[in-house]
Amino acid sequence: MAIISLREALRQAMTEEMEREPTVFLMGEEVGEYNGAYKVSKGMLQQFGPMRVVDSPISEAGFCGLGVGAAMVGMRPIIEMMTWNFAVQAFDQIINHAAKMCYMSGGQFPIPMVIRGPHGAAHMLSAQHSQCFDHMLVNVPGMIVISTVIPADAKGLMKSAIRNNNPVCFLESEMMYGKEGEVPEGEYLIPIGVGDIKRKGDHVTLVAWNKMVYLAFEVADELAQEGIEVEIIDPRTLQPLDENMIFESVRKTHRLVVLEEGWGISTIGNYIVDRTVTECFDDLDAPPARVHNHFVPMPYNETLENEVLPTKERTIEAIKKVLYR
Amino acid sequence: MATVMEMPKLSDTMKEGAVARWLKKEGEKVTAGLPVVEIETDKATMEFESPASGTLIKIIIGDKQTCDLNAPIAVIGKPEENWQEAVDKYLSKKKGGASAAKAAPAATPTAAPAAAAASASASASVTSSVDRLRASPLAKRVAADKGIDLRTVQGSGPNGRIIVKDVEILSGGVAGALPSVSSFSSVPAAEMEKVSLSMMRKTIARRLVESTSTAPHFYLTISLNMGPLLAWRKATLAKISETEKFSVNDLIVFLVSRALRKYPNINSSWQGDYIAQYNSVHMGVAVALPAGLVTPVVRHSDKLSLVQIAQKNRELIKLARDGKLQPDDYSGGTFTISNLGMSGIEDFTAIINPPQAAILAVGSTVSTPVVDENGDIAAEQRMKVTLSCDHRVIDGAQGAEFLKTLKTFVEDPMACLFMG
Amino acid sequence: MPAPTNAQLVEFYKDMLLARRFEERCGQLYVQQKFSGFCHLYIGQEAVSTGSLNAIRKGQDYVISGYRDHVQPITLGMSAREVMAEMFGKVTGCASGRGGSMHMFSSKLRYLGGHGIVGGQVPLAAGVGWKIKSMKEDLVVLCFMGDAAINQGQFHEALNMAAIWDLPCVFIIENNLYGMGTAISRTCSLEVLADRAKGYNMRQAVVDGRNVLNTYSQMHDIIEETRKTSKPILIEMQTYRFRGHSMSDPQSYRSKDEVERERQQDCLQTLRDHMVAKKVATDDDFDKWEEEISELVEDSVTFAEDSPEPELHTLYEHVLAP
Repeated sequence: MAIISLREALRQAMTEEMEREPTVFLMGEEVGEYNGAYKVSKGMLQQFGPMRVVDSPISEAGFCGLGVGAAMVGMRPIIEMMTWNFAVQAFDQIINHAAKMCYMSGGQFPIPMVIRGPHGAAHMLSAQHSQCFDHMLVNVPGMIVISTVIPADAKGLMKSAIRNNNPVCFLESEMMYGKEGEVPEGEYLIPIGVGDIKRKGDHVTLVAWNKMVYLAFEVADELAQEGIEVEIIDPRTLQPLDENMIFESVRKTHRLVVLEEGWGISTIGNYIVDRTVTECFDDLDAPPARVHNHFVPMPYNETLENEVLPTKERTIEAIKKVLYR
Repeated sequence: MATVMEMPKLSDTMKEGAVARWLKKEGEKVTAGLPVVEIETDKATMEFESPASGTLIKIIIGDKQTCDLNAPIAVIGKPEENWQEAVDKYLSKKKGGASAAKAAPAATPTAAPAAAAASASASASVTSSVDRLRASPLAKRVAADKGIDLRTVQGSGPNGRIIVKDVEILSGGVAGALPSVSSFSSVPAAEMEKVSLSMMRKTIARRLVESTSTAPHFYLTISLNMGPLLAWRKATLAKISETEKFSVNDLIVFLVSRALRKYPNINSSWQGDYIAQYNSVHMGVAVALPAGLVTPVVRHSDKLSLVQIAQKNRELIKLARDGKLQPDDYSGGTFTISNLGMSGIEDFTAIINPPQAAILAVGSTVSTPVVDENGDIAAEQRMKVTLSCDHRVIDGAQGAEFLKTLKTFVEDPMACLFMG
Repeated sequence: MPAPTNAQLVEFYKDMLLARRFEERCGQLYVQQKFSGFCHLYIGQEAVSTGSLNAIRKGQDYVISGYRDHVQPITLGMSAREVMAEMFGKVTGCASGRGGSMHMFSSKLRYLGGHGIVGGQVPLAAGVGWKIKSMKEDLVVLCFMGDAAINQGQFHEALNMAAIWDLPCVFIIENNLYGMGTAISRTCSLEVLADRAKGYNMRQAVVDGRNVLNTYSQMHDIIEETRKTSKPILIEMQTYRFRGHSMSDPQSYRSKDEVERERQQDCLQTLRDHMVAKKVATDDDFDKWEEEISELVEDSVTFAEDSPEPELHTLYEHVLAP
């Protein structure tokens, strides 16, 4: 097992796939000569040259659309969004074009494309640089949505994403690029749509993904001292969701808490709760609970930001509530 | 195509069933709609009709054998049809895949004339009361699985919600948390005989554990001078016909019913978030049978005459002894009287029949020395009764009031006329 | 380039006649409620399609367009049946009934749609150009768009990238003078729309889209230049649509006189007059072709009407590719 950072894991995945398949190319702002805004693509321009690692103008809709067009005619683009906050400019291309092309054309034009970049809060970057986009993206048919920051998961899933023949929205996290983790040696792929039980426990099912997984572990460690064993389910792929893994866990623990970054109105957590209540109604001893951001644009001030995001305290409170403690 | 007959679910709380007796033999012709077998449930033995006309080509579950609900018990069809094939097909359709025909579990011999178990809960009222209760879906499911009446469970969740730990405490086990009960040093097998559990025994065990663990019992004993009443009875019996004869117990049922009319707070039931005070008295009269205890109910006992009560009691006891009590006969009671006087027991404490709030234990009439106003010792015929009360519903003073009135009625029956 | 042969002239005429009659028939069917949704007719603009698409290598070069897309696939070689069936939403349509009027597709003919978002197809064209360049192919991509699309942000972004990266894209503005109901003169500060190219230091041209022979010869040269140099070009194709923007357009924004004047320059009539003058065809020929085309169009309608609907159980097919 090697120990590498998230950025290294992503780089390895992209590099391996570009070595393997000549139609794969990376395009985005600063991916080439700058070595990547977050250094994810460091060294790749030197290795692959400017036709395969392409510095784009600041034209998110333009270069994302370029990716869609290239994918229509046989290429396999990886379009990097410096942050998903900027991808909003490209939503027309992502939602109206990439996601719908295969269906609209009766299956003639699949779009084998990865759109990747970080999302969510990244420490005092304020309102326009701190939003979570997973909740919106999962509600569009025709796209796959993956959200992970664990190096081993990211590497295996990025490879699968690049090999998949559909548009894949891959959501990372600025804050986590430097965080290290164990990664298997040699080539491996993780199947899309399969979740991971990150921690086994009998007392409550805690569903969390992306950087919330680390918070989940903090919470679980603290509660273990009180004899409460938390089971952490990381779906990794959000669309399609590995709901059966969640159901199996809830049938065992009888309690569900979803820990999600992002505002709480239309969320993946809502969907998970709805599905769980429908499929596991008779297994629930308490109504499921969710922990999410306060419904405010992200403030710059650090204390305020920390309060807006899900906290350890609110997560513990939610878990204890479903345990009637 | 042959018809596979299943073990039917004949009561809400039935979890498994036993064949008491086949009314037809293998090879005999049966007719759809006519009784073909007697099924023992957890409460009673009931006749059950054949689902199809034809020949009873195979009996799978024989007399006195048990099996799960909806398991195949027989096959009806044409004499030359293959019953095993029919069962296999039927089971695979149910399971949605190939599966071996479910073998009948080892026969559990039931005690001869299987009789109804004591139970005062009418199925209809159970469902509607349960709907008004707050209980988590899991708690409801676990309670249903274990046959626990949710009305007898105290909820510790918000707004009195019953949560699974409230139910598990009753059935004697929180998954993985409490040590198992069987931590006694085990008795070597050679020194004991295993008595298998009848439907009735299982139900008695379950319900009375429920009762003692959820209802906080307290006991009030009072001693009654039976002299005048017994004398009156003796004189009256000489003057009336056979059919009008009444026992001491009938008298007690009559007098207690009249007393309860004045004390609806005793004729009550704990419902979780309210107390139900019943408008009528439906008296459960405990009947001891070889296999266990049953409590048939005399409905509206507060409105019946003594003779009517006596006749009803006789009827119910006969049905009970013959194992022919129907669910209606033993459900819906609001109070119970248990009389061990015939066995020579002077006093005892009885366990409340859930969901009732009280039970009266009646002892034997004993010639007892008493001290009269003059300080002289005389002999009186005295009987002790003990009232067990659910303290959630009844307080000591209330129970005492009731017993005082009962004492008045018993020792001076004419008082009934004015105050009954 | 050499002048078109007589055979080519006949081909051009029949192609434009088919386009004209097909679109007229669609207009009729729409008001008869044989199909619904949107219906944007190409009537008046036939020369643009016939002239441009006969100047490319059909089935090799790529073509992409906006939603006024019934006619271009037919010029490329798609059967009228497939287009009509798609209008009817039948499973035999070129997009299996999933696309409809605005979304004609053919991977075989390299017709990449049929797009409903104004300007959305322009970056797609840049992507196709990127592929051609990456794979070092001897191909071009034609990107048709309406005049008002040049105001969309994505248009700028795409042209900028095509220019800096030398992508072999032929961007064609079908300037029929109106963006839906708004005269282009009210929304664009340029008199010559092709001047947008100056902003990207890109080649530009203005092409006569009312006379198919001019369209054809000009496009032929432009396309070959693009193929050779791999440098993109922005073309303003001057044309006019005789009908409204779509079926629901009452055309209150332009005068009847203007429409009448334009009809005097009908590309069909112009070519017919030329062919008669050059003695390429007689009136009898034109009548014969009229009948032929009429039958072809009717056949496509019958085919569409008789074709089956997509089955409900296929609802989820093609959401994701395997």
